[in-house]
Amino acid sequence: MTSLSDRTGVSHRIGALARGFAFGAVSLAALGLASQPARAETRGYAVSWFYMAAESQKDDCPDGTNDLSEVMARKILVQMGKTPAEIEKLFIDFPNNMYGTLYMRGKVNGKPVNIYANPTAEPDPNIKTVKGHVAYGFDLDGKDGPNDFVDPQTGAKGVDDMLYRALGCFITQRASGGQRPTYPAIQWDTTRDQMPAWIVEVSGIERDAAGKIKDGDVKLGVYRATAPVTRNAAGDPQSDMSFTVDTNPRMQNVVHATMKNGTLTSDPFEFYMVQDPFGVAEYHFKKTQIRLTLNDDGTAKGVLGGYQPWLPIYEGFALGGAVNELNLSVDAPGIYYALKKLADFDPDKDGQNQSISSSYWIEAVPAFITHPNADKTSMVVGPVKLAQGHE
Amino acid sequence: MRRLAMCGAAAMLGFVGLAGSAMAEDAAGPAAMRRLTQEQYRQIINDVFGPTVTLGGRFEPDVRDAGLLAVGASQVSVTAAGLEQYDRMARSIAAQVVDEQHRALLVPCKPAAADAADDACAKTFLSKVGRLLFRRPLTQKEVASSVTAAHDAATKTGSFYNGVGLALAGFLEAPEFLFRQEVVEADPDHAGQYRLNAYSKASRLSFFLWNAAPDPELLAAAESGEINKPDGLKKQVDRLMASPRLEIGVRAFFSDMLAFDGFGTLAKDTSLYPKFTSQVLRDAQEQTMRTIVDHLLVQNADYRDLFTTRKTFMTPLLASIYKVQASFPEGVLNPWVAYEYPANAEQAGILTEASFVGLHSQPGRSSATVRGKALREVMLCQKVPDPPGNVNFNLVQDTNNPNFKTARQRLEAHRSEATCAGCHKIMDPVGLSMENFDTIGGFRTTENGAMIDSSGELDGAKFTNVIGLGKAVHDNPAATACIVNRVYQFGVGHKPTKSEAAWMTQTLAANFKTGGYKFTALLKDIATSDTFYRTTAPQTGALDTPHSKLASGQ
Repeated sequence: MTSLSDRTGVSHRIGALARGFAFGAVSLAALGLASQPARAETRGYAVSWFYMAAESQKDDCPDGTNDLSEVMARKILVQMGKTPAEIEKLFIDFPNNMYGTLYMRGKVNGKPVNIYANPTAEPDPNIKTVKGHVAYGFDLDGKDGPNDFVDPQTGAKGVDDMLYRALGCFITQRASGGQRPTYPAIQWDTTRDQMPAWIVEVSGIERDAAGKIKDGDVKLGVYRATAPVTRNAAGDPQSDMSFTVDTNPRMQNVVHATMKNGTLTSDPFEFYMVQDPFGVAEYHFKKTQIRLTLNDDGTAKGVLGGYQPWLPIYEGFALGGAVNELNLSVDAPGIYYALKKLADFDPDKDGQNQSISSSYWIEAVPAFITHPNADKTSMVVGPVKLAQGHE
Repeated sequence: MRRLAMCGAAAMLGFVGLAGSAMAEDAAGPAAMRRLTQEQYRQIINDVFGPTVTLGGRFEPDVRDAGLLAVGASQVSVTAAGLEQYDRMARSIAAQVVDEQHRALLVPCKPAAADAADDACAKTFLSKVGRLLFRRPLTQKEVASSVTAAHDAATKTGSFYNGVGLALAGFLEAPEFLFRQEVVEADPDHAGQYRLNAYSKASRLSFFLWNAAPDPELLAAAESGEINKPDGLKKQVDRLMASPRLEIGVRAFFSDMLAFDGFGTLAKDTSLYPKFTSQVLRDAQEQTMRTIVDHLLVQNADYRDLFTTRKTFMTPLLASIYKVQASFPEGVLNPWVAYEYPANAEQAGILTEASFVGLHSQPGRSSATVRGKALREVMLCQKVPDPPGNVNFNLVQDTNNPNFKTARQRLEAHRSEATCAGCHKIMDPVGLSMENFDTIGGFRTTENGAMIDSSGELDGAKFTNVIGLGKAVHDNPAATACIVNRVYQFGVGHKPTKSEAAWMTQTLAANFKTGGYKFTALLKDIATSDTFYRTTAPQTGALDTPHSKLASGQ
């Protein structure tokens, strides 16, 4: 590992003092650095949250959202041919027998099968899907079609996010106003502690005399670390931790990006990342784009969009089986059918698309990143603002 | 001892207690009776019975006097509630020692019958254990009494082991165990003068260097009188100092001097400082201990450099708080790694570690005043008076006042009150130089958006930041005088007498300086000195205690 001073040419604490640059040029003058040539800056982050993006609208689901779990379960049981008395007994004895009954509701050749392993063993329940046109993300295919969205943050049209269209009428997948959708947030929050951290590095940042990030070219790297994120006393990811990059070549996502007004937008690229089977075991996005705003308080937030295989998304729901269905008010086979129908990329030989456009929020806290056996480090810049004005 | 004699407008430093060089070669202080500290109690039980015998219960709170718990230990007794706790622990320990898991190892003989008394075996066990617990051989009367107790209990309960367990519990709650009772004898080599007897000498030495009771070899040196011969004492000191257990003693001393007992009640507002966790609290103490042990014992470096060294140790959480980058081994829970700050970093020395700036802060904000006071009292042995009772702290505590964004601005306004100005002139210029560290030790450059000015002044030495403060402490003669004072007091357990103070100045401090301020040399200088074991005349009748007659076997 190389020391910060070796890399930046300025002292670590001068680097730290530069955290105040965003708040005034006085700092530059006071340090006598104003006349020095601008140096490229590298900032490191640990991904604190990664979850399906949603800006749910009232008109997303004109026929209402999908049924809550009890209503959904009763309908399923009726379709299975259960009598009212049998259904009541299952509810009275809940959870005894309920989960098992729902598990084995599929039929293959007249015999009951595990529906989650055989989602087509029941007819398509035709879950309600989003009809609205507001969603975060990117125009991945260069077209503005009838199923496309408008990004509420950028105003961009032609946004492709069929994943939200498929799932956005389940209440546990909906969110707006900066909130995180319930289940995607739970998935991430649960897996984050037990998987190596995702880390982000932005290099080539330049600032003007006032400390504002200049527009121009930067390099974006997204890697997996060798250690997990640590929680602080509030249960949130701890900032300013040191991470080492996992050298596994599968998780080296490096791409050119363009910085404008403090927000970078990457060129399209392929993105690989291992997560945890509780969510999606492995992400593989094609035509990926990342938009990331580097905040003055040292954090970063943005959106990742791309096409990802839809089957692993279903598997994330199916692994939890009936427990997931009843706790989250989701219909797993219904999700299978919806994802399959709304998939919009990467057709197989039969014309069935294997991937679906999707968008995810990325939230990140400042972190130090070390590349093993490489003369390269990241550092935190920008003061970490805590509550009530305490730096 | 150097004290701040007054805090008037002039805020002058006064010096009390250093005057006088007479009697330096005859320096002596009173013998002490000190209650075992919690750590000493734990260490003794561990040493005598092994780590598988566990302790439960709570201890009596230790008391700090003259800057040290070691001195306060001679001021305390045992309350009724405390005695209950000692009794509970004693019974628990004794029960474990004689249980089926431990008895074969810890009871050196096997009774003729497990369901009946066996006085011979009980005597063997109790004499051996009693010698280690009382730090001296038992008197014949004590042996007889404990064997009788074991016999009676064994007969009533139908169990030999219950009997010796009960007698053992009696040892563990006896004053002779709970208190370090120093016994004085006339010095045969210096007519009219007094010294600790051999066993008390062994105890003082062992607790000084190991924070533990004498081991069998040291007790043997006391029993043979070897410890009273210069060569014999030097041999034992060399042995104790060569042992890895010296680190335990050094840690105990610095934990006491740096007031780490304060971590037991340290609280931070985690809604404002969510990085502060119980693990951080432990790491902060351990960081400073590792820094000290490495610097003073492993590197045998200049004590003063503790205030300027860029070398320390990090855990992932500490690195996060300090906002520095470090590499940690994979797959290790809470790993420690050696770390060195860059040469131009604004962080160096133990004053910039969370154990100091975090311990000496308020729960929700830093405190230049508390830090300044702590630095003067802990590191320089100066006494800063407590504030008067009618001080209005509102202005200082209001960190959201838009007119006073930084601590410096708030304190300047506070100092406009004449009653406050005097003492704050002593504390604030020191403490404000540590304002780049928030209440948990996190590095910062601004407060409420305003740049922090960390310039300051210590006893005439001016500096621009905390690095300068470290150098100022490094160069301040009070810092080295203070450590000499504290180490000696830690060993003897009392405030130095006038003659001892003179000896410390003329001999210890001078040797410390000449030797390049090596801490181990200071320890050895004290431990091998005659003064360390010399006492003032005992109170009338003190020499008639049974313990003073042990050497003759009465």
